[in-house]
Amino acid sequence: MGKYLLRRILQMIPVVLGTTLLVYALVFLLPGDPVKAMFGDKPINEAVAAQIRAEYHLDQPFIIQYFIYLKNALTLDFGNTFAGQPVIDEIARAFPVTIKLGLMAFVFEAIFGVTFGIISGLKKGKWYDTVILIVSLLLISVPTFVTGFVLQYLLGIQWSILPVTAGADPTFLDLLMPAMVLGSVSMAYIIRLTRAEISSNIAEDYVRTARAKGMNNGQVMLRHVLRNSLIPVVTYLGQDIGGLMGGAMITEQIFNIHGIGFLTYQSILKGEANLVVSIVTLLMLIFVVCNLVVDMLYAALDPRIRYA
Amino acid sequence: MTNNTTENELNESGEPGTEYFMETLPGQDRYVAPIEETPLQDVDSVDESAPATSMWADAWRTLRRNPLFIISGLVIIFIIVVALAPGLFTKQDPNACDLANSLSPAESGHPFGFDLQGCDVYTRVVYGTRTSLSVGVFSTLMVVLIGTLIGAIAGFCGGWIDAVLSRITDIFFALPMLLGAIVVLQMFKSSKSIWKVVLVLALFGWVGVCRIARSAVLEAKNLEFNTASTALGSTPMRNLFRHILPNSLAPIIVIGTTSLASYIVAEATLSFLGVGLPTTTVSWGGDISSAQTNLQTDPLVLFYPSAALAITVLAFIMMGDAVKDALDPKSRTA
Amino acid sequence: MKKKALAFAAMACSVAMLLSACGGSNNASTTADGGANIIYAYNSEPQNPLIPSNTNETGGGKPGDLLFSRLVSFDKDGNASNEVAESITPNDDATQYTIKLKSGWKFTDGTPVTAESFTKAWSYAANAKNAQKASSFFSTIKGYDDLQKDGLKGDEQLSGLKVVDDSTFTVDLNQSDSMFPVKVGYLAFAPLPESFYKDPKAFGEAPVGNGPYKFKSWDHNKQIELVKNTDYKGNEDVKNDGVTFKVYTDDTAAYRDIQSNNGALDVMESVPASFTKTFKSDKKVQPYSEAGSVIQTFTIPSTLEHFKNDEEGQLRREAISMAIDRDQIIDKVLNGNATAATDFTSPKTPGYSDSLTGSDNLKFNASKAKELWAKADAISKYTGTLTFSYNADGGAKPIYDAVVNQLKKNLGIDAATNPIPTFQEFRDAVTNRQMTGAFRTGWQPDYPSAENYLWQLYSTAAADGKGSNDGDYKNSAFDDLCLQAAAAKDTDSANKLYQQAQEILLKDLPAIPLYYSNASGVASLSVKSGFGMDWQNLPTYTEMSKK
Repeated sequence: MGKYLLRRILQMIPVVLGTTLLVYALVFLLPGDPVKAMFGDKPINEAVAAQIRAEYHLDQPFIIQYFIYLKNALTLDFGNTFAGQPVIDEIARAFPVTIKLGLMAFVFEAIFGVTFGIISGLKKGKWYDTVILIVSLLLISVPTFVTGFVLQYLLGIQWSILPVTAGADPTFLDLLMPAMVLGSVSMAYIIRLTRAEISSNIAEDYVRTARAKGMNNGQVMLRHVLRNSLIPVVTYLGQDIGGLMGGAMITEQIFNIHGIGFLTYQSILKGEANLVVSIVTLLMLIFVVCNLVVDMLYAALDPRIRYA
Repeated sequence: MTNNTTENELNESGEPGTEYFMETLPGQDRYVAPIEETPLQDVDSVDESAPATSMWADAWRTLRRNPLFIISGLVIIFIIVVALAPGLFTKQDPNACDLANSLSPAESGHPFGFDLQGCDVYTRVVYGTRTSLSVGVFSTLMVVLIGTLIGAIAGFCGGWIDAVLSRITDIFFALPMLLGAIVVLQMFKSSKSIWKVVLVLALFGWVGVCRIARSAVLEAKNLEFNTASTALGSTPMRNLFRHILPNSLAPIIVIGTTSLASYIVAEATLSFLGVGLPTTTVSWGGDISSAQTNLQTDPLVLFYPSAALAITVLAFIMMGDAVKDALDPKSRTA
Repeated sequence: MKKKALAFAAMACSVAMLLSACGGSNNASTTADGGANIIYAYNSEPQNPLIPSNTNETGGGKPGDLLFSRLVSFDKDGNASNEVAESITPNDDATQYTIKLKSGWKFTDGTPVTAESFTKAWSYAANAKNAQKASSFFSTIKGYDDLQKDGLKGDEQLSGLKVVDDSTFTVDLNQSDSMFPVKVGYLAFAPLPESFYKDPKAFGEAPVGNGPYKFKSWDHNKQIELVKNTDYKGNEDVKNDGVTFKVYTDDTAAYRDIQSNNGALDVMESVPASFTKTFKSDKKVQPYSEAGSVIQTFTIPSTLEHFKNDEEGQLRREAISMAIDRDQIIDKVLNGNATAATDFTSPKTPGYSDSLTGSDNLKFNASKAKELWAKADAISKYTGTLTFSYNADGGAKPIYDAVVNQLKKNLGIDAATNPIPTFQEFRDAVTNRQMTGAFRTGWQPDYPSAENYLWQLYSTAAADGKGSNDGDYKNSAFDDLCLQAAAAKDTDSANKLYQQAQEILLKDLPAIPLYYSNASGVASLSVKSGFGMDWQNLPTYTEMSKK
């Protein structure tokens, strides 16, 4: 186990190098000149533009720019944004909010998704299975902005139950509505996934055996069916929590949340290579860790899966 | 001969006086009836005259009798017909719009009313079917194919192959789609075909399916039938494709059919940004995103393309459920 | 052990959530205070440090305007009056100005505002070494070119600026410029205190100005707090105790906050597209919508085949302009929050007229449009699709969809929109002259003067990448009239000349004016008085009060 962990951690090094190079290249390939765009539609002073290019090494060839970034990153200096703010400060400001929101959405979708999925899977074909199917289908096919818009209007303006927007330094209550909106689509996926797994596992021989042995129904569900159904669900949840940490541009925008999603979106539009690369690398590390945890959980859920 | 017939003597073996039937054979600790005498063989025997059926043929037989499958199949056929021949359903041009009709309610000949630009919503829903359906279906197919293949190989082979493939998925997962899509689609800017959009959606979509496929394969790899089939001399690759994959399909089908909707909507985002399809191409996703500004005052404009999308996705989800059940003999109800 | 691992993971999650929730609620004491009369205003995060000459977008411009008083100030309608200046006196041909300052002006750090506060700040801004984004505003001052060379140190001064005494300095210009006394009202011409030069970086994070408000704090991506400057004695009558600019991700979220009147936001100077239809009758907000200073146009490059500056090109431009029903677009797409364009400036520009000769070219006339197009086709047949490019991240889609549909319908030509993903890529294509069709243009004035709309956009001097003449329009008659106007003795005669210059533009149509965006916005019901909007389409921050 220890050896396996060590190997996984060592694997991160080429992955980080690969990701930074790839993302840096993509930002470099983005059409348009970020320095020109700083002048809007006003005349561009070439002398000033040249100064700015030199300051951000934008006058260097791509590979040099990349190595400058990498070299500075080793000393934990991730460069500045075009507004003169250190990249690390920008991320430090945006990330806590995203973590809060992401975790809340995660808990929301995991609890409700698995619960409704189990209900649906156990009672396939019953009326509440159909209701759950239709609701989850609605959540999947209605775009997030509509869900957000409607909830914001009803819960926030019309009935004044929850805060309309989150704003800076949001509280638990401020983030409740955004977390519901953000988690709703994944919740629908989890419902479908859990339902499928439960309904196929419930017909397995070991369930019959366990029942025949006189085990009561609740125990059979908990000890056998659920445990055996969870691997794909845990996988999905594992990659989803990574996704949630990447922030959600639309949800953050609707509820005025200054998180990672909005920051990423803006920095891509502005061609802020340093910021984009740093965020993506951070996210990638989170994915790697999440996947590692998920892989560990496989072994916990299914004793036959072993890592050496 | 005596009248004193024993039970034994009444037996058909016809060897009176022996204790044959009450005796256990050496090595047995209890009495076992000889095979010829049990009625079990009727149950266990295989009807050798029946034609050999594969798993797929079996599944098909089950499917044919499943109402879920028939209904969803009919809906999908209908949608395909609309996609192939929109002219059968409307005589109007989806791009002939008159601003004077902007957001007018339904009237005769225009059952769904008009959108902001004064285009006929019904006609646009009909004409949007082709784009949305093909983008959705082809993207899903590509995502499922690539994702399943890579995920299955990673989960099945394990070791360094798994490590390399899984780390590649990590990188792809972290890439913001917006960034990748703008750059990749820029390279195909002049192309007007839907394939570039399908390609980009698949490029950024396969990772999710890949992780799910890998987990399902990891799980199925350890099941008894796999060990059995290996013991019978099956090669690992044959095992993977004949036994493990079919048994891992359930979660893949669920994720695949469910994410169909998200690809249809994602196409709209790309086209909205100007990197997707030309603006003259009509699609549900595009109309949904255009309608969002008037959500508050004219929600119906948003409703119709969304409903078309929802019905399509529902049909595919139902179809997926039916196929999944048919492939899994244990969950067969009949 | 494995079960424990699972349980632990779940626990870690909930603990983290609990912690974050608690942490949040501690500092969540939002301002429901009845005491302070603070106006919460909508903003985006400034894209540059808060240095006047490095500010060229509204996120920094809004707080900058309130922090720094310039030589002149503008009233709501854009009329200039002296503020820090006692007098601004031109010589005979308006090539030299003598500027006298009022006494008693102070920066908020207590140091006096002197002639040097201006000359040093202007030289700093013009000096290329200092990479100030608004540097080109100083290009008409003598010595500017010397400050654009390599090897500068950053403290070289503009040779055209001469300090006479503490309260007097002179400015030498490269050419006549009767509009100079208006130009100096632009933010980049603000004075800077001595402390700025010691550490420009720190100053950009915590600026020291002489305006109606004083800088208090800048919490990045959250808010900028300004409080009333009690030492200020300029033209503005400040009716509140402070303005806090709050950063929003989205205007819809901001509108929702104003609607709910929850104390988070009081005023915003835009109306999100989803609410343009309803905000005027929305009982939960105070609406404002009147003709504004921003003009929206599209440009067909003069290098485009069939659209050159010749007879055929002119016919086609006129035809396209007449085939667009501006009122219908404004009514249906913009829900009435705009005014159909009748010239190349705006109704908020001094000297504006809605009845210039040739303004008929901007009126909808489908039959005449068809006729003109046919005439042009007789000269040389047009085939192909006319594309309209716009940046997709700016919300212009419905407008250009409508324009294209109208051209298809009214002119019978093939037209299509061509969205370009980002503003950055869009501007790149424009400045590199890669556009193969029409493209979105528009102008938000820096200072209220026809010169700002005309010379910068359509003069030969601004063509070929040297300015904002993106369509490379060149007409010497137009140039001459503008130069005459620049040398005119008074603004009235200058404006007459600018009107004549515009009549040339109305004939040539280097860009095709669509509409003037309305200054429209909303205020919360907490704002008791003073809500209006000024010539920059910005709220009248100083006049608003919650009491």
